[in-house]
Amino acid sequence: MNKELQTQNNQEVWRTQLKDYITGLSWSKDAQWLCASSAAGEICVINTKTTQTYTHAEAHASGIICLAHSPQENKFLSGGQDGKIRLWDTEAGNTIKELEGGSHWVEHVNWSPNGKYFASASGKLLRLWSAQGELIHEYIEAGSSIASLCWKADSSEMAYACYGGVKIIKVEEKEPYQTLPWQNSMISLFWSPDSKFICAGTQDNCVHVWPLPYLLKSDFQMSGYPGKLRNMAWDSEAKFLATPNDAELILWKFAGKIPIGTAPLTLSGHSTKISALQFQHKGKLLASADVEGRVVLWYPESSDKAVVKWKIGNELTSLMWAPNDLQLATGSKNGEIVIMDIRA
Amino acid sequence: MENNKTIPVTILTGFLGSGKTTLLNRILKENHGKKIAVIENEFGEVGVDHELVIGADEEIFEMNNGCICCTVRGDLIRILGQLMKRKDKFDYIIVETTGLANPAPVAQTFWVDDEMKEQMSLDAIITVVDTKHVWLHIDNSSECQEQIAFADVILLNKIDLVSAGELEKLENKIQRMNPQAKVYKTKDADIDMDKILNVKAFDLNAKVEINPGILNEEVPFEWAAIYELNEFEYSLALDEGPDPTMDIAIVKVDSAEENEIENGKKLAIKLFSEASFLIRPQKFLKTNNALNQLVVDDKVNEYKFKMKKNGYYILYTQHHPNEFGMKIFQNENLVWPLSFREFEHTHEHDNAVSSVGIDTEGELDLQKMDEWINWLLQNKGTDIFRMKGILNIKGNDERFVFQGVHMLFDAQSDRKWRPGEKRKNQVVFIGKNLNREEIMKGFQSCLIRSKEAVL
Repeated sequence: MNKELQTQNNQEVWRTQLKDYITGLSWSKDAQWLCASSAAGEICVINTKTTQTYTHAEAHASGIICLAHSPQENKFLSGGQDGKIRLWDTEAGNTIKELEGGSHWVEHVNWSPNGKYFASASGKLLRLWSAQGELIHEYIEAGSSIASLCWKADSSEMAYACYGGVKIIKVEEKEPYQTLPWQNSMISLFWSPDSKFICAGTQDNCVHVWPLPYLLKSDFQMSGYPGKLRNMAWDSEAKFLATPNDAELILWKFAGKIPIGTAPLTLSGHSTKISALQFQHKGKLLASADVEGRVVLWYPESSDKAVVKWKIGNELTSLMWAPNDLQLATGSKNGEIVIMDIRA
Repeated sequence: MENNKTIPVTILTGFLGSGKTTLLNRILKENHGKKIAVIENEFGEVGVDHELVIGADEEIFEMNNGCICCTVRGDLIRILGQLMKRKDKFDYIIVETTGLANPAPVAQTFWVDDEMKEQMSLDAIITVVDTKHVWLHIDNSSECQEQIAFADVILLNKIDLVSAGELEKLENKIQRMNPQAKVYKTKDADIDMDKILNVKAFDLNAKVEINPGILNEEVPFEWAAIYELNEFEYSLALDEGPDPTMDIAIVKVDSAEENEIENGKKLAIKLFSEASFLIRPQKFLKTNNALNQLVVDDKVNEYKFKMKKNGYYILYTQHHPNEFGMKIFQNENLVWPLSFREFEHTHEHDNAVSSVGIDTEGELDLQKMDEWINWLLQNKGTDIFRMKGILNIKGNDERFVFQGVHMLFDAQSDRKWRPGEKRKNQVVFIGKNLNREEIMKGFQSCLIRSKEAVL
């Protein structure tokens, strides 16, 4: 415990290098495939069983901003600075369809958890598509560019953040039915797995939370963070909301209740700024990555001490658990992708 | 904001048609070896032919506390945040604003957003002015005034379309609004790149300079002249003018030296602030340090005055005498002044953009200065657009320099005062509704009085 392991050990199963900053990492449902995108416009798909990979050097004319693998089928999406969305066949490695995201960069593509739909955002334009890539609906332009997008666990609703608040839309309806107001600019958005809370990272370094169903002025926020919160993580039971606070993790205790008046858990184990974090999909392990290339695993339910620490390489920018909770992938600023096995 | 590794950002402002795009194309052409990213909020008639032009909708975000200095440009944060992920980063970034943009949120974005600040540094705000058409906006458009007031560099462009006189008039006006900016006159936005790029206007580690030309204070008169007058009777003739009255104060001085005009100014300002004597045509002016308000209601008007003593006198006039064809006669002989001086107009609107300059010796009490600046920014920060200063702090052998945009500011010690160098405090505030007297008093209260200085 707490021993720093080097990556030469048998936990590391794969390591590959793209040309630039890893902008997206996403797993297939069966964890056989990992796809990755880079700021240089590359797409890389890794078959973790055969260890074969294929790479498209210029999948989008300029960089790729977002990437999402379907939670059900073997296909994935990429969105780029060229304003296009590409729907890919994971196994064959080719584009099934190219779609128009809008006249601006495509900054978000998000699958509904049931895999039936995906939503895309380009500037102020939100579009809903079928899993086959047919346009279902184009919503009226948002008041400002859409800064973040997320789905409700049951796939019936989605929420998007822009300046001045969060809007919630029912999938079968054509316009938002609710606004969660907040006079600020939201930069990230997370819907709790129990669907009881929506939380956002704000431009002025706070976490803003709206309990649902929303009653006016029932929202609250946690402030005092040293930087903007692009990354946060809910555990599968929505007991904790984990937030990075420089080199520490602050875990707010929710479990269906508002954490006001309760002291959060503080997890110390990194020695530098935490850049990415995620809970296992079903399990209780929390993984966090930092800008010096360390990955730390935690079991916050029973201990505030790190379970294990690894030094992976250089500045990490993303981290993703495989749906089977057994593998963990990381992406770095200089384009390196590492997959680890966490069976130990 | 002065890390060497950061990428410089230039903000380009100016009304549509001022020549912004021409300047931008020139920059791209003359720096073709460099990787320059351009963020455009407006697509003008002349397109920019460049692969790294990114169109963006200007999105101004206020934070919840409603403080004006926390207003940032959300579109820039998103776009530049993505661009900065690339390994082969840019050498330079240019943000071109819309013609009607207030430059403050753009500048503040690089100041308040930590992620932006880490990777980029604001180099300068450049404002391109159409010298011919700017007169349509300069007095009534707050955007036009703000663009001039915020600028570090101003290009007076299209000079081929105006006369030398018109250009001078504009230059004087702009100088009064923003004495800190470097002003260049251009045709087709033709200018040396080193005058507009890598200017380091926001970098306190670069050489901080305050333009001493800022100290033209506003006075309530436009003209003053020294006359040698005697005990005989004089007549003063005025034609019809732009105003139905004309204020004149007569002040006795000791010599005909030109600096007497400066010496008598204080008294004249005092007289102009007091009640005046209404003088109708054919009546006598008061000559004993009083303010006369001459009623100019005919095509030709004549007034009289007589001195009690031979000597030198200064006439301070509210308007320029040329506007009224003013003449002074003695027995039908014209009397000429020995010397005269013109003062700046004070015909600005109350809310107009202006500057307040301070240039004074003496040591400052750091704590008092700190308290005063904090008070000033909290109470007047909305109206103060830019400020810059070099201070002589008691007990500090180094110059103390600071600069700011609205309520945001940077301050640090600079180089050592040189032996023999005059340790002066030089500060300039640029903004709207600036109360010169209040600022002056506030600043002076931070000076250590000579008695204390001895101790």
